[in-house]
Amino acid sequence: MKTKGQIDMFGLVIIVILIVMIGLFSLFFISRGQIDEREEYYSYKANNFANALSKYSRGNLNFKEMVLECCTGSRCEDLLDFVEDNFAYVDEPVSFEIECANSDYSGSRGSCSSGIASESIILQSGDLIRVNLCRK
Amino acid sequence: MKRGQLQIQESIFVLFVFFIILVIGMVVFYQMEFRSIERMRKENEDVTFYYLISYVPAMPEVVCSEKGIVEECIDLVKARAFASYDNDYYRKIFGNRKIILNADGEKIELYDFEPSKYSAERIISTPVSVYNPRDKSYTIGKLEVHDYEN
Amino acid sequence: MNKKGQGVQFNWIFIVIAGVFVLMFFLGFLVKYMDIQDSKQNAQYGWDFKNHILGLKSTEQYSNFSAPRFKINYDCENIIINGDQGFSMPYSIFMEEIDSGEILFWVEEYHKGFLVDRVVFISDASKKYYFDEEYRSNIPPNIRLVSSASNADVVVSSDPLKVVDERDRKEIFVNNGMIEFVDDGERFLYDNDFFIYGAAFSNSEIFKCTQDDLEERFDILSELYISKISYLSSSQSASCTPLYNTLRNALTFSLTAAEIKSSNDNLINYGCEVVF
Repeated sequence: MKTKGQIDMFGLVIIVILIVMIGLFSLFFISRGQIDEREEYYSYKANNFANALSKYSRGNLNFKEMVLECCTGSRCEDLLDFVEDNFAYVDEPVSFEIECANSDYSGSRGSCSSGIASESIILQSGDLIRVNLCRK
Repeated sequence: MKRGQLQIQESIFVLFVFFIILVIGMVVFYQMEFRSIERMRKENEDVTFYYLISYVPAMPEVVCSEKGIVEECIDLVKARAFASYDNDYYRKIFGNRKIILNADGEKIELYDFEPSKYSAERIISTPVSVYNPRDKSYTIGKLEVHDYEN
Repeated sequence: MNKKGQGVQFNWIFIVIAGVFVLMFFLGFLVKYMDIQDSKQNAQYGWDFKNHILGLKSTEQYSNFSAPRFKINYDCENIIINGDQGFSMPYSIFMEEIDSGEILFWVEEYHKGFLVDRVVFISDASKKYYFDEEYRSNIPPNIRLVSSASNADVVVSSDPLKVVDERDRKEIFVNNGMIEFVDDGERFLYDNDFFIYGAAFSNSEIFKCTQDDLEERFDILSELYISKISYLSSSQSASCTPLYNTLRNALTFSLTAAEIKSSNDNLINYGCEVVF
C-alpha cells in the first residue's frame, strides 16, 4: 500500500516538473524578441546619405564636379577620399560605389560589400552613384 | 475501511494538486497573453520612433524649399529658428524625446523634452543634406532622435 | 435518524457548491481570455493601420486598406480601434467614425502661401461622394464619386437645392466662404478649398479641431519664417530689404495665401534669396 502511494506521488511530481519545464520553454521563446524588421530605417538612411553626398557643394568643393572629374579625367581617388571622410556621418559600416557612364571606370570605397542599398542616383552627367549600408 | 479512506484521501489530494497546477498554468498563460499585448503596444510606439527619422527632415518647419517646391534637405536657418521656438505644440508629435541636428560643427537642439528620470535611452540617426542660405552651400549633417524609456 | 443518508445529502451539497465555484472560476477566466484576445486583435489592427498610413510617403498619395470589419474613431489626439486600443499619428487628420473593413486614405498637402502640413483624409471606401464640378478635379480615384446627389452618402455643394437635410446622408453646404454641416448647423469660415474636402471627410467637431490645429501650425511657421526674414535681410543686399518687409507684413497680418506666395516669389525676381 505504501509503495503504491509513493508511486502515485512520484507520478505527480513528474507531471509538475514537465509542466514547469514546458512553461519555461514557452516563456523563453516568447520573450526572445522578434527579428529586427528595421529594413526601412536602414534603407532610408542609405538613401539619405546618397542624397546628401550628391547635393554637396561648398566653396570650391562640389560633389557633382568631382564625379565629372573622376569619370572624364582620372581624379577618382580625390572623390573616394572625400566620400570616405564623410562616412563618419553614418554609424553603420557603409560603402560607396560609382559607375561612370562614358568610361569603363567603376570604383568603390568602404567596408560594407553587401548590405541594404540606396536607390541609385544618376547625375546629370549620366554617372551613377550608390551607397550600401550594413546593419551594425 | 481504512484502505478505502486512504484511497479517497489520495484521490482528493490528486484532484487538488491537479487543479492547483491547472490554475497556475491558466494564470501563467493569461499573463503571457497580456504581455504580448503590451509588447504590441510598445512595437506600435517603436514604429513612430523609427518613423521620426524620415518625418523630421521633411517637416515644413525645417525642410528646404524654393518658391514652394520642397527639396530633400534641411534649411539651417529654419532649423535654428525652430530650435529657439518654445512651444508645447510639438509635444503631441514627439513626446518625451530629444532631436538634435549636428551640422558644420554646430549642435542644434531642434526639440528637447528629455525627462528627468528614465530607465533607458535609444538613439537613432541619419545623415542629412543641410542647406545654408547665407552662402547657398549644401553640406552634410547628422540628425539624431533620442528616445527615453520610463 | 438515517445518518448514512444525511451524510450522502450533505456531500452532494458540498459537491454542488464547490462545483459552482469551480465553474465560475473557469467562466471568469474564459471571459477574461476572450477580452484579452479582442484587445490583441485590436492592437494588431492598430499596428497595421498605422504602418499603412506612415507608409504613404510625402506628397499627395492615396491608398486603400482592408481588414476584418472594425470600428475606428478619432478624438483629435488619438485614433481608437474598437473603443479599445489607441495610438497617435504625427499628422493632422480629417475623419469621422468608421465601421468598416475597407478604409481609404488620401494624403494631401495644405498650403497657405507655403507648406503648412500634410493632412490625412480617412474614410469608409464604400461611401459615395457627390461634389460640385469645381471641386472634383483634385479628388483621387480611390474615392467613389457619383454624378447625382440623390445617389450619394455625402453631398458637398453650393446649391441649396442639393443640400435639403435628408436624414440618411451627410450634407455640406458651401457658400460665401462658409462651410456648413447641415445636420448640426455648425458653420466655419474657410479660405482654401482644401477645407471643403476636410468637411466631407469629418464631422463638425473633428473639422474644427483639425482646422484650429492647422491654423496654429500656420502661425508657428509664420513666426519661424519671420525669424528667417530677419536673418536674410541682414545678409542680402540692401535692395532686398523692402521686399523682405513686404513679406514680413504679409505673414504678420496673415494676408491671403496668394499675397504671401507672391511676396515670396517676387524676391527671386530681384536676385534675393527666397524665404520659402
